[in-house]
Amino acid sequence: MKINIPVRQLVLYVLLCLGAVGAFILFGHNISKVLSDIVIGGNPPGAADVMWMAGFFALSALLTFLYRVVSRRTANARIERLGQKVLGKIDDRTVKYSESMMNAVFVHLEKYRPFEKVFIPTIIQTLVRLCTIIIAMFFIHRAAAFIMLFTAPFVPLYYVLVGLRTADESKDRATQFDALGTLFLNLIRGKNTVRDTQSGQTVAERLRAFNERYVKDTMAILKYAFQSTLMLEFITILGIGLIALEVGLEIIIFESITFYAAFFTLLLAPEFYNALKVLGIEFHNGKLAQGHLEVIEEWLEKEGGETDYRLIGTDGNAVELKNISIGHNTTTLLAQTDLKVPSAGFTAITGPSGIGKTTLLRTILGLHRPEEGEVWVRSDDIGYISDQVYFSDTTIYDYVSEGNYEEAEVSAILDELGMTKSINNLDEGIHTRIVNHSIPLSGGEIVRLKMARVLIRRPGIILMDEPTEFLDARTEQLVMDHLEKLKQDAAIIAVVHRRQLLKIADRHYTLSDGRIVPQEGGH
Amino acid sequence: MGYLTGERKQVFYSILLGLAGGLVGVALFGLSGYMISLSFFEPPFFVIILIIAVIKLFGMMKGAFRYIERLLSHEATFQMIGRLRLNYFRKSLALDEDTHSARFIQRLNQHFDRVEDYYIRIIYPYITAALLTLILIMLAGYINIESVLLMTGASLLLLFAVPKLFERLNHEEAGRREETDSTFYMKLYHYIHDYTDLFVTKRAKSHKVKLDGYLSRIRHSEDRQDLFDSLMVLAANIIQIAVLTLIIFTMYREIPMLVPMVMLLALSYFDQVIPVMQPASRYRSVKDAVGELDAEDTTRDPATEASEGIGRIYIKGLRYKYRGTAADVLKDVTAVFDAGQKHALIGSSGSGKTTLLNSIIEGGGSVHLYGGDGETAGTIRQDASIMPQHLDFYNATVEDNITMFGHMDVSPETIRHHLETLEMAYYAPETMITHTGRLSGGEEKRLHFIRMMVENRKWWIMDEPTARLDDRLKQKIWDRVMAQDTVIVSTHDLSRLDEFDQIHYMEEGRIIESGNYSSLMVRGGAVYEAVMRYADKL
Repeated sequence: MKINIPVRQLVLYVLLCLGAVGAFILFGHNISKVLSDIVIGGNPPGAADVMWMAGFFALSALLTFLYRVVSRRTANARIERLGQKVLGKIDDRTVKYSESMMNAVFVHLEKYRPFEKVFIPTIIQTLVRLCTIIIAMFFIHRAAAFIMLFTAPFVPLYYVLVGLRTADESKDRATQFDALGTLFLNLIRGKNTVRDTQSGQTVAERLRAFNERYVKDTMAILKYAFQSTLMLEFITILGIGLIALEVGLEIIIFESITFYAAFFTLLLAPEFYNALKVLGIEFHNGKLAQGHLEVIEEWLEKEGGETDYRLIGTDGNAVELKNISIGHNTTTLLAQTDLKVPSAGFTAITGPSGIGKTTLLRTILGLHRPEEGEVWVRSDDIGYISDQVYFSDTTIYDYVSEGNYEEAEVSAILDELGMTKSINNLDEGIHTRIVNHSIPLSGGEIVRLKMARVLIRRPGIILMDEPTEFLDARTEQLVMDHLEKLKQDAAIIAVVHRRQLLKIADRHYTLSDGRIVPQEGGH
Repeated sequence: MGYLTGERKQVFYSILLGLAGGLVGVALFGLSGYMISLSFFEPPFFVIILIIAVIKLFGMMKGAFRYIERLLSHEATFQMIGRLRLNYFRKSLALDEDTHSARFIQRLNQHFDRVEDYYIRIIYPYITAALLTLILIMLAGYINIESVLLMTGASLLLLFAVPKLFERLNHEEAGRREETDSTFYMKLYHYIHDYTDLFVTKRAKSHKVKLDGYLSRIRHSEDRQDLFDSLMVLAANIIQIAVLTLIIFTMYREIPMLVPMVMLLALSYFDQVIPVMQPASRYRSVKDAVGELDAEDTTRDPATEASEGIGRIYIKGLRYKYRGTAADVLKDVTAVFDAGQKHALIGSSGSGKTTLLNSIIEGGGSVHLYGGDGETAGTIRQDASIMPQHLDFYNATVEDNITMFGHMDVSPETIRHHLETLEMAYYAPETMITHTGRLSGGEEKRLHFIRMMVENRKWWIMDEPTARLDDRLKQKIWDRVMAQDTVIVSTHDLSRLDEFDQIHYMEEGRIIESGNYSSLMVRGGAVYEAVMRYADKL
């Protein structure tokens, strides 16, 4: 398990921990002195000693508090940056994996957080404690220090021999638990099908059986996992017991130890062994959290959020594709082909489905990097009317204007597209809210709304996927008239599915065999 | 605690063992403190050996208690979660809530994560710590009255006052965090789904900056929670040192011998109680989550369904409006669907086809079902195989998915045959579907179609059966659908429209044209236009 942490930070962490454990040892020194006075000397406790005792304990608590706050803030900031990087990987393909992306941000990032927040600081803190206590022990009571040195390696050794296996098994358990959880969530999400098929009883029975089997399996595995904790506990007890025995023998038989040293030793010994135990348990937690980091890293390794590959500023033509090859993973859609689109007019593109028409549009838009060749556009102010539509929570006015146009301008463009009547029918007119993607308009009206949003900006280049919606003849004529007017001073490149639209095309290309082939039939 | 009624035995024993473990742990430290005081006053040697032996024995016992208790408490939790899930599932079957929303599922998941903590990390350690405190207070009575008061005061602060104080802060912070998460979730969802448009209109960057703002709000929320937790530990430590100092001053005169013992005892007690405080301060937030999942038991039996043999569905004056919207999606729809006929619903998207199909399935005041002996109550489900718009799959085997976990009786061979016919031989009945999100739209259609063929009830009600399939598969699906007597299909794919007995054209929530294919062609209305447009396709 590698821990990535800048050196400066590591030094700060170590210093804070050293301060805290140092203060604790000084607390131990003073309390041992006070008790020695009381028990052996039979005197009242010295006020100064008690003050120092309380002071050092408070200092230790304060430094620990500071360490926690600083290390957790740092961790939260690191998680935030990781989150930003993941969000930076979102592009127009992410929608296919949206659930996985949402899970990365909301589940895996959160489950990885404890690794940064708890695991790393705890490991540093524990190591510092172990070293400091053992060094202090050499000055307080050397024999106890040797016992610590001798018994401590058993914990990591035990982990290497037995613990690793249980760690793996615990991971399996976690995965299995996740699988059961996912099935449950699937069933809740898919309850309509359960209802439709009236299989509620059967499915509930299965869910119950799954859970029973899961509890049985898990408890078997947990027995192993907890056994390893039990062993750690035994090692700890053995160590503390050995030290107690040694101290007891020294007091009675050899009479070679002071009360001060004896109490101090017995105060520090559990601190030492508890730290060892924590190390063992955290090791296990760290492993689990790292599984989540792996999922996040899968996203980080993906390409995406890249910079624009297009070259801007042609002399005259709206779009020029030079010697371009386009593909998805292993399949090649276009191979070393060219296309020049003049600054005005309607260019139709046809071809069978799946041949790469939409990908070609996406390449011009800057969304799909070509494998080779150059993409030139006159300007990057391009309007795109896709055949898919997604309405975020918005209003008709906000959707069309994007906050850049006045109400009157929006109404004017909607009027040009013959939508005034249906908009006026809505309760709140153009301020009608579109919630949850449900919009009180017909398919043909939605198509026109999408067009209005692009047309209001009057871009010099318009790309469109022909809407596959049913438009009635009147609407269709209206849309075509509008496009015909528009093509006078804009370049329209459209993927066309029906002959009707070819009537207004000035040029017509078909994609076939990886090439863009000009067709007769353009006017 | 009411949530743990089914696990009483485990709960009882785990608390008992936890308490015993805690006591033994505290005693262990006390004994070693006593031992050193005693040793300096030259007791018989065997007494010291005896004490050390007891210390070791206690240590082993503590380990063993803890081991058994952890097993019991985990078993109790897993059983509780299992039961909660089962109840929740049964309950959700009766609800009409839309469970497809991603946020709903995410919240549910979070709630169950919290429930996992509920017993193991909150309830059980707290009860154990409280009982341990009570016993120690009683034992303190043997020392002097001051130590009883001291112990009572300290434990009230530690177990009650401080967690209570922070509980309010935590609860408020958790509420704010929940809100941030919800909004962030929706915004991120929109950003992913709207990305193409945002990119093209050059707004993707500014939206990303806004999303980053949510990440930093989450960071600040975490920072605050952490500060609360750290402050709580600091407060506990201050109480701890105050108690230690007071012990010295109250005890050194009368019983100096016992001071080291009490001192170590107190240190060990604090070590056990401080870790309980932080989870305890979360009690309210977690309780809310558990409460939301564990509402009262609902009736086990689903509403009765109309029996088989429905001969006619008569819809009269049906209106439908989604919750929270002003306009009707369906406006006064009247239609008759007779058994033995094939019905097609066509029209642009958003015209109400899916809503109409759902209304037929869900039933209601405007949907009348007629069987052999007049109108019957209930819904059509008993008599229908249904392909809804949103298809559901579960992470289980292909066979379990198709047979709904064994609800339908069919041999694996038949399933294999269907998979082959629909060009999905790369799936076997025993293949696990581990990520339902990885099924393509076309695969989902075909798997659900197999589900329908296996179920094969009299009425087939289908929403877009051929969407997202290639032409060859489309025709295979249509061939099978056309072999059926009674179907109601909503579709954009008009390639086989002429084979339907009744065609209904919907527009803006109304059926504006109905009839058979040839009469509608003669009429030259909306259906005719749609067919012409369909034929115009390149």
